[in-house]
Amino acid sequence: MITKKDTFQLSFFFIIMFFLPVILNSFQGGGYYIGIFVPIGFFTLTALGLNLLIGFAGQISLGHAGFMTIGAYSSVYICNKLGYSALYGFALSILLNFIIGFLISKPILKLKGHYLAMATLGIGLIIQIISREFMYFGGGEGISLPDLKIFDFNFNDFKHKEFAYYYLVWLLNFCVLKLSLNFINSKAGRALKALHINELAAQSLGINVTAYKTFIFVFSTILAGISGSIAAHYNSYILPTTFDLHTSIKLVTMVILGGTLNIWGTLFGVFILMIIPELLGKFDEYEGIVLGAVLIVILLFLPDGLTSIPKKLKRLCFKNNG
Amino acid sequence: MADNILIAKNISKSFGGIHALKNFSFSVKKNSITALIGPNGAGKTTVFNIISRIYQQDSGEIFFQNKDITNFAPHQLPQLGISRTFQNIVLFPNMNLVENIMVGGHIYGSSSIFKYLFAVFSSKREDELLFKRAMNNLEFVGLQKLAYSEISELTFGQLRLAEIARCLMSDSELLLLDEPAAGLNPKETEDLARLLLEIKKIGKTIFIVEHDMNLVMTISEKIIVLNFGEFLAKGTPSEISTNPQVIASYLGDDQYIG
Repeated sequence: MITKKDTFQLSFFFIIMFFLPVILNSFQGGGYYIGIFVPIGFFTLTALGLNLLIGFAGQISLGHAGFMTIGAYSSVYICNKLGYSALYGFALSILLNFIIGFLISKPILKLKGHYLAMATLGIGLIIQIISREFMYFGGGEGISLPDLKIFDFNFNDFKHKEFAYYYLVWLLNFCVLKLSLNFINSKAGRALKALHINELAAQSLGINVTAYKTFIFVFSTILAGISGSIAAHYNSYILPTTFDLHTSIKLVTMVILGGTLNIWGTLFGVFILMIIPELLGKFDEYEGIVLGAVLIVILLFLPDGLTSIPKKLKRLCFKNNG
Repeated sequence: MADNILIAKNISKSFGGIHALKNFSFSVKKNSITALIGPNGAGKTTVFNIISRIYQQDSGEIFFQNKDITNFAPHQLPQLGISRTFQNIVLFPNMNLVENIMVGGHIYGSSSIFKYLFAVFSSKREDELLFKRAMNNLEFVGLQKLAYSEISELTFGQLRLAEIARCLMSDSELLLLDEPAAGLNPKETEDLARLLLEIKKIGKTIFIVEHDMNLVMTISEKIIVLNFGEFLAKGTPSEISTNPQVIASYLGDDQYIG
């Protein structure tokens, strides 16, 4: 059941994220700072789904950038090639990721550990190669997207672009957070945690392991698709390399950095990994080194992620006192 | 026979060239404690894994309450009325004790995963109910004080009890207990015996694989002996302990008779 603590945190999160742009905007160059939160927002959307898959269900995917790519090219197809409204683009993105996610989850989720990692990695690469070799979508040169218009509202209008996208992605994140909290605080969440530890035992307790794994995999691919569509519209351009293997690994790092058994951890994980390149400024070619170092340090010293710090500190104080 | 809750007919199973079970038939009477014994490697756990559908037998049939369960998937068994524990305790360290027990009640509530995402109904009330039942079961095995403990904080004996409490959550007719006394000290084993008799008293049927002869002889009404995958003998504890075949193959050593 959703606890009072969750409801409180969710409301707190809503208020913070709602007023953040207003506060940022009062600074000079506030638009730039709000702009940082848009990519953070759409990566959060993918990472939230991935956290359910990795942290709760104990599966792994190194191919989620591929599903973002599918989402992005769905929007390209609808908006650029067919000239329909962006909403249909989102619908196609959801539908395609649902179908593809469902079809590949059947064979792929029978695999475990390293084998699952390799298989999902392969799927990510296949999607990237198809998008590069498919000349209809501009091949390796990429392809541009018209502005994101929902009804008569143009999200890409330069006057309010950051604001508009900011509220779009964070409203979606709020909804996904609410759904995730519903889910993990019910018997379904406990079922995921159980099959994470031992699938045979989970089965013997009446948990339909295949159904749960498929469901959560498809849910995460759909979120990745929506995220990819928004990202493509925001950048107005999509390249086959926009979401590549590097992105997939970064997404997994975000989830692990935040803490795998905590939904809120994902928010911190995404924030930190997205802010590092901004802080590095002109040294951003070293981003790879910093990301690698962060991952190693976390795995060595904080295997349960950033959200385990309070617990660790408590235990440390306890030890000193006792 | 109508009062047999579980009937297996001519079960065979081989792994590669090894015949784990050969034409093994047995039955378990309703509301009884039946034990399956045999030397190490006799195929006892294989029998359990076949009943709980983790393995598919090569030939033979299994009937539970006169229903052929051969085509059921493992996760459908609690719904049917069969739940089990594992030889190497399997609890979930990513949840606290009471949540672990609640997982055992998974078959209750909605079966649609979607509903839990959108919470279109009150999963809160459902959870409160499950929680109450979990607490009752914890009380039944005597662990209610540890409800919010982490799994890593429990002793081995408590883990065994917790697994039995979780097994009771699905309210199954038939409980398959795989070596519940393994690793327990004499005092804990005594408590376990009392608990198992208590479970029988509330109308459940217990089918148990166990090495602790003392426990088996005290609590079970019927003992089935398995030797190298083949049926060797069946009967009451006193019949088994005097059966020359059984003594020769298994109980030969005095220390086993106790």
